Amino acid sequence: METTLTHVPAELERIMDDAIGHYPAEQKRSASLPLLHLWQEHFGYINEEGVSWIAAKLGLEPINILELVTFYPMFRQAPAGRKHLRVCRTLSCAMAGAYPLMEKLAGLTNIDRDHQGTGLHNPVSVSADGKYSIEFVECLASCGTAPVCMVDDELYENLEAKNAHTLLQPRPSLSSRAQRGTPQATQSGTRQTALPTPNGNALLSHPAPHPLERRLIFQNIGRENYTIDLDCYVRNGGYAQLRKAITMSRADIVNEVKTSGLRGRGGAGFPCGVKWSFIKPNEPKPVYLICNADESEPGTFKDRYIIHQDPHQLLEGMLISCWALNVHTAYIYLRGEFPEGAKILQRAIEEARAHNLLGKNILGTGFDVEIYIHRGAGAYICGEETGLIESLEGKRAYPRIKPPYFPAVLGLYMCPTIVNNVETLCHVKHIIAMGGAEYAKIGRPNNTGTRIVCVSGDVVRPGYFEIEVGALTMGQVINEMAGGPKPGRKIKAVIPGGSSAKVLRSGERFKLKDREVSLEEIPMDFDSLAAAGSMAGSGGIIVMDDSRDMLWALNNINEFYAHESCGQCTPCREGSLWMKKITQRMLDGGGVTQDPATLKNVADNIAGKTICAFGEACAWPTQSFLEKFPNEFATRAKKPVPPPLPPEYTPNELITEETIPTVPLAHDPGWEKAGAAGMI
Amino acid sequence: MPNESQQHMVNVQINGVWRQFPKGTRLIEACEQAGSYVPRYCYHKKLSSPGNCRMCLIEMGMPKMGPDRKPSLGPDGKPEINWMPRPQISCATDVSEGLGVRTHSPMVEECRRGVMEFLLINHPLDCPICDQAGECRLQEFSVEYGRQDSRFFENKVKKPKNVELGPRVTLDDERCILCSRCIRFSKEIAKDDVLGFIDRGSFTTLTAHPGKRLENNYSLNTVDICPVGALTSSDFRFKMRVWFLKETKSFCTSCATGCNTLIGTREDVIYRQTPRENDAVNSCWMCDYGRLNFDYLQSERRLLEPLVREDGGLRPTDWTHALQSVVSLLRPFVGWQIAILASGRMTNEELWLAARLAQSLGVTLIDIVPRTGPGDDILLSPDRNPNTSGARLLHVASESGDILQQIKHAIWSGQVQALISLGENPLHCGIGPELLTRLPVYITMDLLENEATSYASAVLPSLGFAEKRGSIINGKGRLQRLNRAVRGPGQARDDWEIMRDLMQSLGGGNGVYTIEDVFREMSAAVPELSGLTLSRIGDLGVQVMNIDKSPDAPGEPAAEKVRARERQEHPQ
Repeated sequence: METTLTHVPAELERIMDDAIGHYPAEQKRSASLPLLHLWQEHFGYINEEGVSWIAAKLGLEPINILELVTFYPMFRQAPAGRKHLRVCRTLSCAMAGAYPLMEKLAGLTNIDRDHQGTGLHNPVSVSADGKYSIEFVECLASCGTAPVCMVDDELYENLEAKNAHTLLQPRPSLSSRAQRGTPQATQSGTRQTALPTPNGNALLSHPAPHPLERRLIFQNIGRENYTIDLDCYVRNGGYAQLRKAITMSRADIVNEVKTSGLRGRGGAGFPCGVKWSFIKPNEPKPVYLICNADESEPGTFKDRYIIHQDPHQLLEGMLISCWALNVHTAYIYLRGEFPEGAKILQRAIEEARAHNLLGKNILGTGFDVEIYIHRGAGAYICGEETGLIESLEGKRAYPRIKPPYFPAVLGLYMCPTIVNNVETLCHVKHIIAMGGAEYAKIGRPNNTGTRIVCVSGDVVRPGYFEIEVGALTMGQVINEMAGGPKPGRKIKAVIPGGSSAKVLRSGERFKLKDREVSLEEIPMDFDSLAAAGSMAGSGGIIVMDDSRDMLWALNNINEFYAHESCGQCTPCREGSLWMKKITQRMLDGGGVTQDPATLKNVADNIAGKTICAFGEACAWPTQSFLEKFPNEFATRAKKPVPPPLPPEYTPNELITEETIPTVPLAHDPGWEKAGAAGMI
Repeated sequence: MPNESQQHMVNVQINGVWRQFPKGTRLIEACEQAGSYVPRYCYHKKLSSPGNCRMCLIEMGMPKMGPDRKPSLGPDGKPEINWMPRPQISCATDVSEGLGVRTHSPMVEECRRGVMEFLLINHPLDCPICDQAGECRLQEFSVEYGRQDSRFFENKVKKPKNVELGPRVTLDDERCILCSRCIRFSKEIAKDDVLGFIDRGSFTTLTAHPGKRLENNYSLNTVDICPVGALTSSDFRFKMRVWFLKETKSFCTSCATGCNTLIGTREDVIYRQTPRENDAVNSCWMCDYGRLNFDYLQSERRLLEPLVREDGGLRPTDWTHALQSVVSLLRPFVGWQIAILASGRMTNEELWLAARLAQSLGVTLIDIVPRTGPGDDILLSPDRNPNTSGARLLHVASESGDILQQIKHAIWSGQVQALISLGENPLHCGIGPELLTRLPVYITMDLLENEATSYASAVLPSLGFAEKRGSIINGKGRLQRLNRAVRGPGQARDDWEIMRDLMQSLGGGNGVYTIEDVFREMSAAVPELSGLTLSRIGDLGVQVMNIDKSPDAPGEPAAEKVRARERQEHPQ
């Protein structure tokens, strides 16, 4: 080990060694992100010494670590203030007033915020006295309680600029609260909030499920007197399905999941049983299961509640899946912005271990299984499964090319790997409970089960609702469950499946398989939303009313994707920022006539040409906003195109024409005239 | 290497024409072999394929399957193809039976135009002063797929410029298109993981870790494989526009590996050496040490005219007089009184003539001077003589260097009265000034003036590797050919001609007029070379001996391993 100036306490190093032990011995690089988190938690930021120390610890080159520190926005290379405030600036929060909130905070903390930044990251601005630092961040996955702000590790919801000062007031530390006997975390995800938050707890606005809901996964979410400990979970029938599953053969479980028709709830909607059946029953290599808990698609905030309020449900779903797929090591890739979630899940894992539900020889079956939490650090692209795998391997989250790197064949550590969303894994438990065939009766053919839809934006009661897939229409979800548009407002547009889903315009007619419907009549299922030209995606519905400027909304979305593009492949890397620059210029009043056409063409040149689906994700908003709201863009694009220097010749002319007529110079320097007059 | 016909061949339709390729051929290579070059930036056949530049997108299709799960055949009896709606990269897929490819369809051309525009929006337009101009892939593909006008009205992303990545490589981050070739080369071939990307998205920036430098002995290969002007050679930078360079196929003579090269020259000045692909020798790479080791040919200390000691000092003279003087200096001695210090840097032809010269003088004390240094497992051989193998084959070099020891003793004892050094400095092999001053006659044939030349009775200026033709056998027994890239300076003469003339003057008349004659004579006498001529050696050399000493050509192991794994685990 190299000697360092900074003293790394023995206890910290012990915790680091422990974290390294979560990964196979030859895969120490995987511990890069955990070690960076630990370093930053201890020292406040990651300096050059930290980079070198961690690299040496893991047997890597320092550049391998620096690549990560600069890729993942949560890692800081300079100290933050003693209180660090992260304000979400993504669409739902921006619509709810995140920008005025930020301005207010900047004023209160006397911070002259660097609006431009140095390019990539929204800059961390620190007050002169070092007491505060503020930073705009991308979606914190709490769009239903927008706008939100994280103060250090705690989330504050439903904020208003006028109450911004309450965020700066001193609060007892989490540990002191824990000593007071409130073991539950204080995040919005948990029902019990020991502390007053500036504006209460949004969840209390739906104390009981809406009558139109059908709750499977969210049975215990928002439930009075339901706690996150194992005892409470078991009292409510928890882990019975795991006990049942271990009496079933692996093939039977996979078949039940196949029969259930369960489709992935992360965004792509791929049939889960089919994915599972890619794993050979006699696979000689280790098989890995990864729970994708990197919830970060703007508009989506469902996994947050499962993790914070019902962690054992996720664990049970995972343990059944591990049994079914013969997985001995599983990872939960948890987004970095859920620090409390990590603690809750960790405690749940320890409880499960204490009850022999996890660890060696679980429930006397002779089957060993370990589940580890791996925290991300603020990169949306980690939600893409191959990007997630790269990130879990301790690298920049660059998605892999498929072929050849299909996770089920060449996944984590080049071993067969199944990556499933949190909600998907929870459904597995219910499929075991009901049987695949019975589960398949819920919902519609090819669109089975229940799913959680998250409604945010311009509605009276934003929030989450678990619905039978396809049983309700968009109108029922928005108007009846979410309370419809705000008084005096009309719905203008809806993004139905997370911000990358194509926007749908109110008043539009959509051709389904058998009929034509209005926006409100679209059934909330995978196939109908696809037929309507968008997608069910992650279930995040963002509603925009007639007060919204579509150019402003698109620019906000474009900023998100420009910020989150990993930068690996050309079209997305260059195109996402270009689109953002165009919409920003239009918004600032500099729109030129060809901007809409250029925007569309740039988006077309990204979609379908990139390594991963991020290309589509960043192109679809631009394509659909332009298509659905052409006039709003045209009226902002009226300036003439700045005159380009006229090309003297086209390359084609130069190559193919034998003679090219001389083009008179735009400004005759006078030689010709002088020559004609016989003066030269 | 198995014969192509023995390998499993697959049928692939490229632009409507069915062709056969060995299984395992990369699609991008198959297209190239079929005459449809697919533009690319990130793909390099000796490195892993990240598929990140998206320039090699093509239209791809699989055979249409009939109800019987067999390919349905079209009217021509060939499988019908189901074209995929989305373009696919051709750099990460191997050919497979019935695969269809279109490399110039409207969709493909549209993709290329799109990628070109994306690559150029943040790229500075500094081609007039960019060293890569003329051999830049961005320029090249702009001709075919570039827009004539720009519709990018925004500010470009600013990045560091003129960054000294290491002692030999300069980086302009604004020109970088983030293809990651240099990063992969450093990791996979040079085994020096010093480069990486920092930041994200459009702001992604290539860098070496602060405080670390790209200074491994293979750093300049990153400049070769950089498809744009981001990485430039600090040595070559701003010295010459590449389109003025004449490129001569040759190989490096700085060690026994003999990496194949192109020597870039203009008007008899060498500006650079770059590696030339030869999978039997150096793959696509060469070491920095060898690459930059040509300055001495343009040194101030070059010997430009023959010198003969007269009245106690070395006086310039002409070749006729110089050769006569040498002959008269040597005449008084018989063979056992003469020793020849030959060199492992000499070509086979020169060694052959040196051996003949020794024979005609009756000299038995002839040996080469060993020259060693640390080697590596990549390309650099510990044997820094390029032609030890040839010297052994032609019996000029003793196996263990014992004759060299005998020469020293024989000078010490006074047995040897005349020493002829051919391209070697006796002071560097233990024959010190006290021994040199003992010698009544010391004749040296060399390139550069050095401390030993001051003791010489006659100095014969000769030519360096880039100034002459000839053959050399590398450490693995491969016969390779030097071609003349520049003319020698002053009156310096080709080494073989000097020796031939000496022999003639000493009375050994023969019919050797050209270097081809020398080779013919040699190949008639040496079984390993029989049937060969200089021209038959070709640009890539011929294996003439089986020696397994210098390291394997790098490149194949890493990339091949990746591909073998992909093939095995993901059969297509």
